[in-house]
Amino acid sequence: MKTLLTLSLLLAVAMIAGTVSAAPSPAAATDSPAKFYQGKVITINTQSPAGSTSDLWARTLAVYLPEITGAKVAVKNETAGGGRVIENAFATTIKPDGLTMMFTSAGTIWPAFMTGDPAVKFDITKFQYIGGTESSNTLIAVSPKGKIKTIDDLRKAKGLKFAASNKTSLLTYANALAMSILGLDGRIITGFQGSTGRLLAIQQGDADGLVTSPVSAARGMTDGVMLPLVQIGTERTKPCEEFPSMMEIVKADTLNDMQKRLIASIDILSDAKFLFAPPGVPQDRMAFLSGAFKKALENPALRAAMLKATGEDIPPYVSGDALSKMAKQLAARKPEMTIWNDVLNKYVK
Amino acid sequence: MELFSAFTDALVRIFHPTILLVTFVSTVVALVFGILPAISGALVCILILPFLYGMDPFIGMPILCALFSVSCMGGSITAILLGIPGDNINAATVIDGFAMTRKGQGGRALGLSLAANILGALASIGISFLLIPMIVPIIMTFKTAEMLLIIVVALLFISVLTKHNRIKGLIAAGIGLLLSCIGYQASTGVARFTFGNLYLYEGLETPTVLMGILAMPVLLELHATGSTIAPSDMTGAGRLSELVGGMKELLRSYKSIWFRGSVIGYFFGLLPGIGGAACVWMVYGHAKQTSRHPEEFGKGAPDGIVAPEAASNSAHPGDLLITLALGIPGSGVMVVLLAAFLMMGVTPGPKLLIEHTTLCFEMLLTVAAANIMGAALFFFGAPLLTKVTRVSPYYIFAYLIPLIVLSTFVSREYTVDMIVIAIVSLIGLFMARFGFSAPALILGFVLGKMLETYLTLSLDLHGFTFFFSSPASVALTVLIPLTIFFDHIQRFLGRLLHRKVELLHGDDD
Amino acid sequence: MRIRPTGTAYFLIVILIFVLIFLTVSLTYDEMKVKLLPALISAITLVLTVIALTQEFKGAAKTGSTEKQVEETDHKKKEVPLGRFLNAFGWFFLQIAGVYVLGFLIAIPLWIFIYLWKHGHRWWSAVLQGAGAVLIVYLVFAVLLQVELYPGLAWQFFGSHFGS
Repeated sequence: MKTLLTLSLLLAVAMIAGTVSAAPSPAAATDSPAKFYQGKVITINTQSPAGSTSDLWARTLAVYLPEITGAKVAVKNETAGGGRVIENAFATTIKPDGLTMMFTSAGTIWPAFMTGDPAVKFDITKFQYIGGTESSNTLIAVSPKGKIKTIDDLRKAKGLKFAASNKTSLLTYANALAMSILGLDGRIITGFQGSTGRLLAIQQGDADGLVTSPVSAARGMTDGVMLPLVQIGTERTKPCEEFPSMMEIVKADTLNDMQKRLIASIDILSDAKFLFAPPGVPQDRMAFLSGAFKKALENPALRAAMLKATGEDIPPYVSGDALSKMAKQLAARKPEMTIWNDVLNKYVK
Repeated sequence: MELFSAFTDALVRIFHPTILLVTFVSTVVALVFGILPAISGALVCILILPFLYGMDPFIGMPILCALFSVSCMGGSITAILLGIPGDNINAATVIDGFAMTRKGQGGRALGLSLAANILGALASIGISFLLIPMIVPIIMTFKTAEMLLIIVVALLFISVLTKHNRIKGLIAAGIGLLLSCIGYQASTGVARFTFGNLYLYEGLETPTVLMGILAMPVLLELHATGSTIAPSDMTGAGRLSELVGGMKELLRSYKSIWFRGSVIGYFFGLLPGIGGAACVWMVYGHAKQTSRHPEEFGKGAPDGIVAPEAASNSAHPGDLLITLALGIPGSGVMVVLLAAFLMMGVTPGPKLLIEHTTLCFEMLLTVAAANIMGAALFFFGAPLLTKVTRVSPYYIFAYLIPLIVLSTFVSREYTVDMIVIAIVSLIGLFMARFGFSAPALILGFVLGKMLETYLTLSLDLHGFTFFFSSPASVALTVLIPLTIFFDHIQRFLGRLLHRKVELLHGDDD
Repeated sequence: MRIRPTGTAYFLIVILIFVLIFLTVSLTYDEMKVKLLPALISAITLVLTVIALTQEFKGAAKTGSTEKQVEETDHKKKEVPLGRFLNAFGWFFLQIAGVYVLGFLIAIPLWIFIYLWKHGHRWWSAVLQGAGAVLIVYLVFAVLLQVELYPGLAWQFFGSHFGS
């Protein structure tokens, strides 16, 4: 017993002492980037589990980036804290040597920053964006077996119930916006478990509609389980470009001031996908990585692999600089979150 | 006819040497990992996920199907011989399986388990083939309100499991429900009881809690008492004859509870979200409720082994079918499988059943083949494995403690899980010592999150009228008092029957 | 007459504190959806715990037909002093603490060695067994499954100070 106690005490002291860790120092740029990356291991983190869209993107990039960069690429799923731990680590502890990056979508990381989530320790304007793909509009979809078949049916219906998962997710904000702009009578019910839970809700008749990503909408249409009706945006985007945007249905001059402000700040709903690095990575390495990413996206084999894995044609490329600009514009809109939260609280009871 | 030709194509395909070899190797791996405590089928699938990216689905699918369906068979071995569930779904088997082992009848318990497992898996595959046309209507019937009522009925089984001391049982269930509240709340995303620790955002892991509450008290007791698991003077124990005896015993005396366990297990496998971890406890409770000797439960009752084992293995094919047919994962392991399918370029959903029927049948047949292979390995390996029950407890402690700590960490790679298991083990230790029901806590924990999710959704969708929102919900509402007063109803019907028999005999006179 | 609390009573007091913490914290949340279930469960469990505690102190438990059997089982367990169980837990905690500080690859063989040596095994046998165990862990988890085994605080501390 005594030995045990002594050993435990020693270990406890060691545990306390061992929590001191050095802060990351800025990476020293010495060799040329091409030489630097030869034989090294690049790690692409995702905050979502294996099999998610971000994960599939990361794994596909891991196949095609090595031939361009000369480095091996490993993928790590870091889902701790709903992804918040790794996101914070990118702002604080991850070494900015250009060997660690994250693949994510704007909808996963930007809303948390915009809503001032107390768990967020990062600033989206400080991340270094390597490159990404354009955002596409989300869509309102209903069950093909339900009573609602057209946008007119949707607008005339009373007491609509929309299935949503999390209250502060991108899709729920989009849902609230659409309900306000289109003048829909109803509410958003949160708590459904992921996209499958929401889809099941409309199939079973528990909910009348949902808001979904364009990829899910396209897949749902092919499977005969979803009927998209309208895109939540100012202009049509691919895929599902056959469906009108809400601003084609509602005239801009019929909107009230709050709705106009919501439309003016609609880029809050951006779901661009991108690769980014922590602040402080040397510029030449960033330029090298950006070039490599762009080249990978132009590779037909990668495009075919992504099409097979996600069912989605890769949207157009967006440069890291354009993403940085987007992030800065979005950060400037932080005060607008008040009206977004007002419209959200109107429909989410 | 198309269905039949797809079935025969699949049957031919699984006998291809490559597929057979892949299935066999995966079965061995699944059994080995299943035997390792705390390494669940889902965890094994998660660990091999990165290797499946881009793999040919006709190779990748047999690997996955064998891994997830056979690992629980291996988990039964540790549940029975060591009192440590190899998988969440083996937790209920521990209660009577381990008790039987402690009496020196580990071989008998393994025989009962093996027979229940293999028959449950084969029967449920047959049921799957028959039910393919009916899957969608069944799923469409059980909506949010109905799922809530099923969970309420499941929770009521706590009263069955804790008959000997209801108050302590309900307190244990309350603790389980409160532990399930740690983490984010489903509809708002607000983190609760995390005290600022982001690693607790997703809540406590079920395997960690199971290990802490069920397995650790057993291991701690082994060290504390210094005695072997089974009496070392039992001759003949663990022999093949004992195993065969156990298997025959099921066929002779426990067919009814095996059948009911398989049906209930399959049904719960079909329902998205409930999962096997809760279903096995319900089936255990049902077995106790309907047994002629309920007082034997907890002390090595054979039906206490047969029922949950039948349920655990029959849940998997139903689970798989729902995942394939609707793309809706029915349990944690199916979430991983769904990810694996996507990584191999296979998109589950209605189209898959129509356009890739052969692949679907191949998966179901692989589950059957893997179970048969696993059963054979189990059969010949079991007598050797029962010897572990007579090994020095210090050896068992020395090797299992690091393994449990390792497997607790490996599932999410969070160091906080190691601290959680330490705390939960302490709770489990005192619960075992002072007579609080571990099954009640586990049932409360496993069902807690689902209870809250479906409760808030049902209230949002229907208000308090959810009890009567559909014919199915009315039927389930009626089931609630029936479950509560089952004993009284059973006694009443017994007396009624007895009186009728007396009257008949009186008339004859 | 002075009432001496039983072990069960002490455990019930700990549960009471645990449940009170849950109840208090749940009432601090703003939204009803967030606080409803934990507050309700805490309240019910609190009442049940108080009832159980009262029964313990009164020494009058409500008995069912199998109550005696449970008491007998408890009695059997209670023949082994609690200290022995806590000793066992101490070893368990030592493994966890060891892993946390030193990492799996050092803590596992070290712990197995100390444990087996302390329980009567020859030192060289304990060393071999520890080494064998960690080799299997390394091969299966780190090499085959490519799981990153936690390196421990000590490694992270020294690694960051003396370069990586």
